[in-house]
Amino acid sequence: MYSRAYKTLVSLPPLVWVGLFLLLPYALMFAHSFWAIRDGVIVHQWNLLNYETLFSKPVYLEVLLRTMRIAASVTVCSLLLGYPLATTLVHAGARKELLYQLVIVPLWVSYLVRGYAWKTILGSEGVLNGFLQYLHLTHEPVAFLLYSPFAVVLMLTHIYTPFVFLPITRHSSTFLARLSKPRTTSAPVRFKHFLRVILPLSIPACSPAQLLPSFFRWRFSCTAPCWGASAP
Amino acid sequence: MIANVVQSLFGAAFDWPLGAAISVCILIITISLLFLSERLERRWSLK
Repeated sequence: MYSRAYKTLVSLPPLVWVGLFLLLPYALMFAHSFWAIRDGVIVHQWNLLNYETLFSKPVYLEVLLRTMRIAASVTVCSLLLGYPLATTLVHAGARKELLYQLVIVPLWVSYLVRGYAWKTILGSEGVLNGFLQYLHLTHEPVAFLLYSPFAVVLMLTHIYTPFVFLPITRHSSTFLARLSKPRTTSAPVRFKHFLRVILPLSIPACSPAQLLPSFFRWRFSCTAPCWGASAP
Repeated sequence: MIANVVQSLFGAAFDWPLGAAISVCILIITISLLFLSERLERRWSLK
């Protein structure tokens, strides 16, 4: 057993770190929200004016709701992509490791780089617009592909799908591999098996607590410069 | 996105108190969602 002094010594640095770089900034932010600004100077007078402004001006609530709507869309899209991907991977057999790496390796690249990569695909002179014009489906570049809520949802889904995929894979691999498959190949029976057995077992993995990053998606700030400038 | 509004309030607009108020609201919503999701997960796992 470790001594009390050792436990204190070990736990002190992380506690100091969290206190200094997490709790203290939060406390400062909380205090600032009750202060006022006068002639460009912050006045340390406690009041609720900022909260009054926040709830009285519809623009802030509108942006907040729009952000939450985008976050919800991204969560649903990531789930729709991540769940089948995780289920496929669990049953992939010998190719499991390779498929796993294929999902993980893109995480080595910064999300900003991945975002700018999408810009070259969706831009007015991008690959997609060029392809659409080549097929004569459009005669001029389609504008809504970039700098729109659609672009934000698409790119955030691309960035966050691995973060949804990983907890589902981790959770599903514990029971899916051991679970016996229905002996019939009948599609309705297999679908029923999925609905009655697999889905209820995998719900905890798909729960919002497991999909933690999705909550932070709506606080995402780096989308505007490259993908959603016209959709603040 | 709301984070861009906060960024501009802390930056160009130099309205730190309002930016902080929005940040506090975002934080409260995030923590509430996490709390709610944990409750839901616990309920699902009990079933």
